[in-house]
Amino acid sequence: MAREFTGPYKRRDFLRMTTALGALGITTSLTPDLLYAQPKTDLSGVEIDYWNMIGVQNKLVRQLSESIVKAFEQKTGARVNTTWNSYGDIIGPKYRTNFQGGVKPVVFDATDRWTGQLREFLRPMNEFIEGSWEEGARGGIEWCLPLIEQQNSGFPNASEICDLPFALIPQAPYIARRDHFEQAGLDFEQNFPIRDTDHFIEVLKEIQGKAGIQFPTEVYGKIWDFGDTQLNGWIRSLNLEDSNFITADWSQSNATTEAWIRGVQFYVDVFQKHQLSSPNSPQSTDEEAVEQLIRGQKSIVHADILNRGTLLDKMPEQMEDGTIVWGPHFPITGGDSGSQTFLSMATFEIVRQDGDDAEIKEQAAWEFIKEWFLPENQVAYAKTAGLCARRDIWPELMGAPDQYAEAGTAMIDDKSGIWSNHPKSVDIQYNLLAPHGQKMLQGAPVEEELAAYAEEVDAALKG
Amino acid sequence: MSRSEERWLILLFLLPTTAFMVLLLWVPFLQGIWMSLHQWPFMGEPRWKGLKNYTDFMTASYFWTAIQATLIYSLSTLFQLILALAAALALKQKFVGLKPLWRGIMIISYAMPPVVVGAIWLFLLDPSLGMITHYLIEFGIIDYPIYWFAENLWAKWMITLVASWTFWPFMFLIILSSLQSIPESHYELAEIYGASMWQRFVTVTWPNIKGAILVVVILRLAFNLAKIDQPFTLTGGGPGYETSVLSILMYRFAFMSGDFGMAFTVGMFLVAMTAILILPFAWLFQRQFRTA
Repeated sequence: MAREFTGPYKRRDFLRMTTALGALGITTSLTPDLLYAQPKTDLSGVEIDYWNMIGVQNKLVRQLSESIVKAFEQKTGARVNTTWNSYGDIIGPKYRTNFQGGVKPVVFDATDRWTGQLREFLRPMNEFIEGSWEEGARGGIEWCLPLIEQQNSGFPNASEICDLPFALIPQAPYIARRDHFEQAGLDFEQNFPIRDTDHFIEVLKEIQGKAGIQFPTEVYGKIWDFGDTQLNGWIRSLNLEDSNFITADWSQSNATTEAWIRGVQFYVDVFQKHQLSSPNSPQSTDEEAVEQLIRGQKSIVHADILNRGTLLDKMPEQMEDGTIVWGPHFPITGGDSGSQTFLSMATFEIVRQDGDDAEIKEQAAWEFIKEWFLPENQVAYAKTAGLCARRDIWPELMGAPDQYAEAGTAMIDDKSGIWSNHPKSVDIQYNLLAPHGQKMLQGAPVEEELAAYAEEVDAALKG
Repeated sequence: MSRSEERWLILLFLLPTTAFMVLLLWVPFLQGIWMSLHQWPFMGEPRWKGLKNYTDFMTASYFWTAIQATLIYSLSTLFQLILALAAALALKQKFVGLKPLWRGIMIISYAMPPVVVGAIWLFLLDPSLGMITHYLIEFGIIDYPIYWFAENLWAKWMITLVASWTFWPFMFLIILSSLQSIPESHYELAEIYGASMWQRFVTVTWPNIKGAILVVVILRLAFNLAKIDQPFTLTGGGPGYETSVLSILMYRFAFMSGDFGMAFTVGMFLVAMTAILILPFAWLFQRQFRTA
């Protein structure tokens, strides 16, 4: 069952507070010594290269990143050379080929499960975390370090923390349009949050029939969304152990397990059997579905919280008046692990340096990372791009009318999973899975396609 | 200069090109063949596999789908030729005014990056937002939106048509320049002898532009078959493997699976397919060259 997370709040007060906090975050980053007296570390003359990727497509996130860099430079005297990269650069060949050829930054940010391929280049951060970090920040993220270790379980040095999460993307909550519920004659308070998949289908059919929304939800077939949005949570709700793509020892695929077959079958049924998703499903994406939700063509769509920026930009009034509300993922009916799905994390990595100045550069990278974990920066980041990693900051995010933080944090507890950081994770999660996913959405038998996928994954793991 | 000195001079002039071809083309090509016989990960030690990559690929469930997709995609060369020839012949006519303006308009699609053109078409063909679907329904041509990239057959033809639209100006420019080099007196003479428009095309125009057409067909066939970015933007190779032309498969094996051995195996098939498609045109060109 989805955890109860709704509560009384005063929207306008909250909006005022969050706007002020956001502004404070940026202001304090620009003029840090005025409001927060941070201890200064002298890194004059030290130059570090920073490859910035997470969220840079979003103007606000990019501005925040720039302001944090500037604040760090002012505080320490170090110089940060920022390069903006795209997700395709780390998924594709750019990072690997550059690192291999000796062109590498001192620090970069990435998605946690894509760095396994680069692990040999990364510097563990354990001694920094344990040695020179203020208690508040360390205490705020300690909860997710075991997840990071679990994610790297196939590496002999799994206990070395090479990826430090600064933001969280639970995969995936859903966005609901309150007005569509009302048009269908559904009592929103009674029907939100969605309880399980039976309830989900029931609500959607009502909306389809009575509010005239032809395809009120969407399941995604496109390569980057089939395997990392709502599907995984449904599989996880049936079996925690088998829900990851591969076994904990990284020896074989889990895709032929009962949980996978049932979870995928339901995913396909939303489109094929219940006809609640558009005929574009084999090629659709969550970004497109969010756009359709904005235009009133969708009623409930799963999407990661990074899409919040689009909603704030395109329908600010409905975000403020509670028309648009985020809800936590929900289990397959009868499933027992509730709304806790998989956590994707935005992480920082330090790259091992060579030469005489290696130590000071790595130290500077750590000081730079620490800047991102200051409370004001964590809050400012969360306001624009989702949830922050510091758990002690979460209470400050609650109370937004769209309830994004409530939905996101309701999906995180000790049952939450994390995808493995196997060096072939992109291949396993996206490249190999998507063609089978698309064929299943076109009507191919689920069990056969999953067996074929599992065979390919097993071959990749052996290779 | 003696004959022997002349020979040495010729060899000297040929040396840079030969070195370039050997180092940047033949050595990597031969290495590619060698790599296709191995399990060749991005990082780590290669492992000898013999012909297993080839048998694995040929027995893969998607092999024939990919070959078929590649063959259909190669037809974009034909569509480009038809568009280019028609546009070039139209612009050759005396009654067409503002020729520089038309020429400029016609090369717009080629002047834009193929990925951008792909993104524009993705938007135009969007079933819920796109202008094309909107007007097709508005004019009563279709009753329901067509999901162009989600249906197997449509997806294949759509990537082919978008490629045709993007790259036809290359052919257009070369055919037009070839047309413009035909002396006007040839047409005047044909007119004096009472030749019809079709007869003028067959006896004057075609013999003069045939060589250029063969060259552009050969070039575009090779270029089109190697295209990755645009079809990948449009469909990602899906649904399933329906639009996974060989170049996309090659990219996926190399950069998403990190399996360079398999990527080069697919590459060898792509080379073979390109050669098979190009050879008849190359033979025709050679024959024409000798005749001339």
